[in-house]
Amino acid sequence: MVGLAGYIAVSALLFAIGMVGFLTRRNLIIMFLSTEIMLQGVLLNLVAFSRLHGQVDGQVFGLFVIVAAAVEAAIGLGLIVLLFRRRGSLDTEELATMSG
Amino acid sequence: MTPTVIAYILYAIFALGGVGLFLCVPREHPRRLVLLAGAGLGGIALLGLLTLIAVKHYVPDGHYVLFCFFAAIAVGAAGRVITHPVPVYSAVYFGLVILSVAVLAVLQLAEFLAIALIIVYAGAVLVMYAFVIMLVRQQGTSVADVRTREPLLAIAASFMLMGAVAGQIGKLGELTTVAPPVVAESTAVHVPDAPAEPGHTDNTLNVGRRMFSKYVVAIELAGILLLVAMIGAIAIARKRVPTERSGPLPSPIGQVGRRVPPY
Amino acid sequence: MNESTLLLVAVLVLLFPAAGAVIAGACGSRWLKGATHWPVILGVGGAAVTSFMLFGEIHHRLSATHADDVLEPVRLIAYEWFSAAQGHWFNVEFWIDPLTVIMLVTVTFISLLVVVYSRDYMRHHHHPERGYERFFAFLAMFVFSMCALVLGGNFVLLYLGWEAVGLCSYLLIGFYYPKPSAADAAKKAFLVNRIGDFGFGIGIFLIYITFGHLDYHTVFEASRMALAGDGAGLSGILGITASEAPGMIGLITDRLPVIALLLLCGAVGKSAQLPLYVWLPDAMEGPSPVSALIHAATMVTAGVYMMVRCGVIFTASSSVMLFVAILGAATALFAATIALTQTDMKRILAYSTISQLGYMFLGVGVFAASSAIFHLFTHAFFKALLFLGAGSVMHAMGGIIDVRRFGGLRKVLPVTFVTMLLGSAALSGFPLFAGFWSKDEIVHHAFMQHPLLGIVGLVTAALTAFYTFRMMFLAFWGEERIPDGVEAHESGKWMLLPLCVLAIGAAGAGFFGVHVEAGGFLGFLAPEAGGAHAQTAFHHMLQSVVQPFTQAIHNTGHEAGHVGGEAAGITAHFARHWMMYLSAAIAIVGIILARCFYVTRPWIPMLLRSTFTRLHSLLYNKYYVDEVYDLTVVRPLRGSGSVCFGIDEFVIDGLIWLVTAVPRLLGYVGRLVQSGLVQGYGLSMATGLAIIVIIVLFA
Repeated sequence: MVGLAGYIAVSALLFAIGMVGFLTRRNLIIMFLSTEIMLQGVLLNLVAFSRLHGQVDGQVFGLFVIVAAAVEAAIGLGLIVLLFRRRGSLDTEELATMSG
Repeated sequence: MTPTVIAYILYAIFALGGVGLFLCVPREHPRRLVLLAGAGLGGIALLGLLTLIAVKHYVPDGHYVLFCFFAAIAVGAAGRVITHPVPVYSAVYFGLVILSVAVLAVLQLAEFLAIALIIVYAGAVLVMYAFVIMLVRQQGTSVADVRTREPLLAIAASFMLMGAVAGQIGKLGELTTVAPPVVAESTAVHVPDAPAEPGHTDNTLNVGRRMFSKYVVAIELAGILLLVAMIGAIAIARKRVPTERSGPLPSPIGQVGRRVPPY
Repeated sequence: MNESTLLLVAVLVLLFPAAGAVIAGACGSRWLKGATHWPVILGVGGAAVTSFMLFGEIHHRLSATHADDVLEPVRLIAYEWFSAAQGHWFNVEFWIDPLTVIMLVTVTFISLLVVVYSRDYMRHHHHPERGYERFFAFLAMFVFSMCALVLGGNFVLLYLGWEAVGLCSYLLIGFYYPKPSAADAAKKAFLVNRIGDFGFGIGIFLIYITFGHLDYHTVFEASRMALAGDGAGLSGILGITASEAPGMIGLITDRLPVIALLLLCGAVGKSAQLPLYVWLPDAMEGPSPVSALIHAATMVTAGVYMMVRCGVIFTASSSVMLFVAILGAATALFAATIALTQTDMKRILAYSTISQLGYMFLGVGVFAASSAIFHLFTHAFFKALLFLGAGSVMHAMGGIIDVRRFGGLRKVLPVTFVTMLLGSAALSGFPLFAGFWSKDEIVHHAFMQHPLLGIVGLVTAALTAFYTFRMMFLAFWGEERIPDGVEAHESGKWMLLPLCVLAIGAAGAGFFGVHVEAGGFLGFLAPEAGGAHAQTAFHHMLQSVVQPFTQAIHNTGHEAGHVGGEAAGITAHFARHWMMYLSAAIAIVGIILARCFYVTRPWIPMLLRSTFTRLHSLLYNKYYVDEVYDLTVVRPLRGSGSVCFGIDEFVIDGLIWLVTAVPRLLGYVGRLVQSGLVQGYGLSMATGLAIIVIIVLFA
């Protein structure tokens, strides 16, 4: 039997890896994937605490996370396609128009 | 072991993992040896973590084995998502992350969520990613995919943050010792419309009841959100945009390969 | 008319032209366009009508007072303006006395005629010139400012009007601002006037420091009492204790000459006297109506008006008065000699204006203030007439005003010719014309004061007659010469009507100053002969205003009387009558000489020019005054200016650069952070969050 600690550790790891991916990768799609990994970490965390408290609220929140992720993927990927059609590249450094 | 010691071991594990990840980030001229070293370090860190969990609980039962297996897959696949230079492979590894997370959710008695995860994520979202990757395919490997920005700083910040949070787990002594189902049962008794034991009764029923009683407004809002997103996605997709690939660009955006100052 | 009605009328005098200016300025360029003259004509006309109402009222009051009584000036407070320290209010107040109404009537009447004249003058081939509405708006603004100057009941309003007319003058001289010469002339007028106004401003400050008040009533009464040594009255009017009064008397009597000199400084600038006259000839760059109205008839006489108004201050010191007289005489002679050789019609008239203003100063300086105002009054008519006539000639000649380039215009411009002839006769002092009466009065009084001043006046009169008719003979006599490509034509009705009205004025304005009942028209020269009643209408009206002057001359006259006795009186009587015949003769001789020189025997001026080459070029180049000023004032100033510019450029700007370097450096550092990359910002956030979390958890 693995307690809460293990799950939290794993979800923290997932979150950290997702964050690193978001911060380092320059391809917009990979950045998006990284945020999804972060969401997985959050989801796992919610599930673990739901089990700890013996209530399903955490799982319901997990479902909402999935909803948000789906919405985000739909809109975000649409925008990415649009951006690619317009500029021919998904390199974030080429999209830095607001530099000082 | 005192919580402080556990915390220190956890820091060490996170640091080790960070170093491993750093060695694995994509480079323009990747070296096999470095990649292997990174993977090895990451593996050692993961192993250490799982061992620590085992040491903490003394009960290497079936649950523990499953947990170790899928946790290792999830973390490893996640690491590969962000280190693979080809986006399609990243997406495939991401599918692996979802599947293993779903299994971990099942281990935590959240079958409905696990299935939803697989259907929505692995089924719908991932396919969408695959389509988009196909749509925006570039010639060969893009510079943007093999070059990373400030990996050291980013890894340091992220792992410090998460390490600090996870380090607190050691202090949750009474919680980290097996959360006995009995305790969960006794607390669950007070919830009138939920059956006594989430594990022994129908999880889907419980989730459904909770969703359509306490969170009914939120569900409606989520539905509206999805509808709006759908309309928005259609509107965006229908839009014709002038391409900027040829001809002068209206703004200095188009300075391809411009050196960006360090931040 | 009671006081409140009087106040209303006085306010209306100001409001009419102000409304005209606002309407012309605001609606002119968009809606009214070629009809912009209407609001201005109506506004100035309204001012003229209300001015005549004021005149009638004052005249009525004057005739109602007993002969020996002095008519108190009407003081009206329109509203309390602002309070200075010590709780003293500066008010918008009016001071209406005979001098005010005479000035008002002159100003508004001439302005009305000039505005009517401008309606046609500012058009070419029946199309309004560029800036037509601007021109009329400025004209109305000028009338407003001038009325404010004249009506004002304290030195603040006087200064306000003084500067406002200066501004209008600047704007109108520079009316053709795309022309560099016009822009330069405007700047020159403004800067030279600044020199005078600097002294004027200091003078007003000194008045305030001395008296603690700036309204005419307090200042004049206090000065009068201080000069009379009336300590009790002084403490009453200034609100000081009786013990302070003797000290105050000393202070005021000490300071009055200084104040007078400082005020004189302003008058010298505004009225174009030596050495600040240089702006007026250049001011002819403005349109001719402006020259006629502002630079001949009204604004330039503001200095004379101010000196007469402040008679108490000026007469306090006889040396100041002597200085004024000498200054006036010198300017009169100096400008007249320059006018002898000029060829630009408007410049001849400009120097003539300076010369005539010199006469007015001379008049004030020899205590003949009412004569000076009388000359101001007649001069306004005939000089406005001459300038408008010159404008008419210029209009006909297609913008050419040099008398060498045309001639014999008698037949071409008959109306202009006749009216200008009348004006010239008035200017040169031909008997029975306006200038004759007023100028002779001044010359007479100058003789009474000092023979030398009188002789200068007579010589100037001869020169005046000569150069005026030189201009007339060159332009209108001889064979008909018209510049090539010009279709000469008589001006339109709108221009000829004012000329005719002014011609009547030039011929007849002098008779206001002539006492017909007492000994025929010669009686005006002997005002004392029959006591106060023997005075002419004009002088009788001004009697109360010029009281300080008559008082002063009376005092000195007493002393002289004791010394000279009966003999002096006989000499004076003799001088009075013969002087007139003498000056009439001089004027006629000047005219005949001019005819001889420029009509019958043109070889004489040629011969003179070749004989006295030096003298001619000296006069022709206006005594090289502009060049001297350029060398002594402008160049050193410009040199010091470039030094200052260098200091500013390198030292001050360097310091500022240093100061700005700090934020620029900081900004440069900050710029590095602003990469515009979302990930960069995300990383900063993550780092910051990590630091905060670590601090919270472990601290």
